[in-house]
Amino acid sequence: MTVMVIASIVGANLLVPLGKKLASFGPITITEIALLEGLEKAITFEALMFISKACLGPALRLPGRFGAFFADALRGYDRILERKGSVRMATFFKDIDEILLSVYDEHDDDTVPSIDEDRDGRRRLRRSDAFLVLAIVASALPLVFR
Amino acid sequence: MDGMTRPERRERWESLFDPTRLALTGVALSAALLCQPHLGGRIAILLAAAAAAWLSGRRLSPLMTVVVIASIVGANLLVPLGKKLASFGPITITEIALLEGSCRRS
Repeated sequence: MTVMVIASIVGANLLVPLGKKLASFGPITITEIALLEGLEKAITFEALMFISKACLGPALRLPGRFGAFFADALRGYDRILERKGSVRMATFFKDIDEILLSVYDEHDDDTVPSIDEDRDGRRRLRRSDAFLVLAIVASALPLVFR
Repeated sequence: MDGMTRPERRERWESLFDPTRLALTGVALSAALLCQPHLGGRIAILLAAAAAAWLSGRRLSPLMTVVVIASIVGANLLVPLGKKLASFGPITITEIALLEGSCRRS
């Protein structure tokens, strides 16, 4: 029975044309599925970029040696991006050099941002944490109510 | 929030959220994004994430975003969709159709 159901579904799927032909430019045919798949990939990629921009900041502290290295890299990258507007074509290499040197010099001057901790060393809850939880729940709703 | 400059927005954002919890939220949101069953859900997350990135005071380039989206969609339109596995008269069996049929069953 299982084999028959599998065979029926796969067979029915093969008979249905895969994607409506939307337009044709010479040898290139644009189909509905290709367009939707492309949109899905592009939107996912851009959304991941925005999430990364909003959620990964220079104040992030991760445990362990790798965590410290990752946080350092993130801070350096952040500082370079902040100064990228000062790069001019006429003095391209000089500007890049100055940016890299300034990031390197500032590296040791970092002050560790204060962390909200109570007497036991645990981090206190903030009001903004409720907003973060709300964002996660809202994004997961379509997964629950499919 | 409207009259704030980008560095001011950034400072406010960084003082508002705990960086570790914010990063963990980012991980959870990324996972939820990748599992979204519908395109509408992904678009909603994209818009919300764009608003959050603007509020966080990061540099955003709407033009670059449009160019990247257009390039990915364009590249996807040029790639043939699925290898032709077999052909019986007018019916052509492609790899994607076969895999999609199998996925629906599972």
